[in-house]
Order: sequence, then C-alpha cells, then structure tokens
Amino acid sequence: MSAWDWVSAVLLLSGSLLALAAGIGMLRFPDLWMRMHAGTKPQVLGLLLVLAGVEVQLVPDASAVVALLFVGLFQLVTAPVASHLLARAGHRSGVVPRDQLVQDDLRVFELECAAGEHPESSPPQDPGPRAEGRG
Amino acid sequence: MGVVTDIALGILLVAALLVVVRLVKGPTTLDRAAAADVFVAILLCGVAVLVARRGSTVFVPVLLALSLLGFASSVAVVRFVGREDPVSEPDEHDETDEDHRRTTP
Repeated sequence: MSAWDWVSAVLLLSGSLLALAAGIGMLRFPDLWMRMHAGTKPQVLGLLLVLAGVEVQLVPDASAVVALLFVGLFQLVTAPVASHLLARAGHRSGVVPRDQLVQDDLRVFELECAAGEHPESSPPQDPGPRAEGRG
Repeated sequence: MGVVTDIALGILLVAALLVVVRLVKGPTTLDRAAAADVFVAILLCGVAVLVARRGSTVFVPVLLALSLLGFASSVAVVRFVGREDPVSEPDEHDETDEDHRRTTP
C-alpha cells in the first residue's frame, strides 16, 4: 500500500466508525432530538470523510472527483434544512419532552405571536393552507 | 486495500442494521423519518466505499441521485406528519389552545 492508500484507508474507516456511532446512538438515545444529534454524524462528517477517502483513490479521474464533491455539497446544503424541519415538527407535535428544556425560545416566540406581539412576522402555526390540503 | 474496504463495509452494515431496528421500533413517525434520513446517509457512505473498492465510477451518479432523493423524501414525510400529536389533539384547529393549556402550570 502506498502512502495515499493509507490516507484513504484512515478516512474510510473513520467515516464508517462515525456511522457506527450514529447507529448505536439512534438505538439507545431516548428521544427524538437526542437521536437526531447522534444521526447527524454520518450525515455530514462521516459522509465527507468517506467521500474524501474515495476521492483520494479516484484522483486521476477528474469528472468522478467533481461529482463526489457535488454529493458532499448537496449533503451540506440539504442536511441542515431537513434536520431543522424535523426538529421543529418534533417541537410542535410534542413528541419531545418540552417541559425538560432549560430554554425554549420557539415556545416563547409562539406565545408572543399568539399574543400579537410580532405583527410583522407571519404566525408560526397558520392552519389556513394546510387545513385546505388536509381536507 | 480490499481488506480496508471490506472492514468499512462491515461496519457500515452493522450501523445500517442498528438504524433499521430504530426504523422498525421508532414510537412516532418523526423518529422513523429521522432514522430513514440517517439510513440514506449510511447508504451513501456504503455506495461510496463500493466505488473505492471496485475502482470504477459506475456508481457515482447513484450517489448524486441518492443525496437529493434522501432530502426530498425526509422533507415530504416531515411536512406530511408534522402535526401528529400522540398525546391528545382532537382537532388541529384547536392546537394553539391545547398547547397553551398544556404549558400553563
């Protein structure tokens, strides 16, 4: 094995171990937010490490390297959006134990909106179009 | 190099199995959505390791498609079930009143 092979091996194995840590965390953590905390590891860092390890091996093939860079870029752009939606849905639907939170700014904001303190921003719980879609 | 990719694929397989257990058990749909998200990420890692193992770039477009598909699927599921309430929610229009009552000590 050449030096680059060793670099690639280390990157691949560390990415895989992050995925394993996420699997254990998904299984053992008690609520949705903690599981999301564990699950973020292969979604961002693990995948980027594995992609780097693959790219080290594919370096002469420029098109494949660019495609893999785009995979990492898409994941970096989309993973926070999906996680944000998921965490907010968990907060709204009461799946997570909100009463155990030290600070719950989203709750405070919703209460302020309900009290009409933020007329410039749209209320976070707008039943209009969704009720239409549900019906 | 083949040994390294074999070990990495084995670790990823174990991780995927653990996530699938959560996918089956997950008490709420949101837990399953999170598990499916992680599963797609692990699948991406697995296909990438497969690319390294075979040394051929046949599966690189699969990686691109999977990375976008995972995002679309998880967002769709979350938007669809975002208002699920396992505690008590007779009518979704009463949700704000429900929440106020619940948080009032």
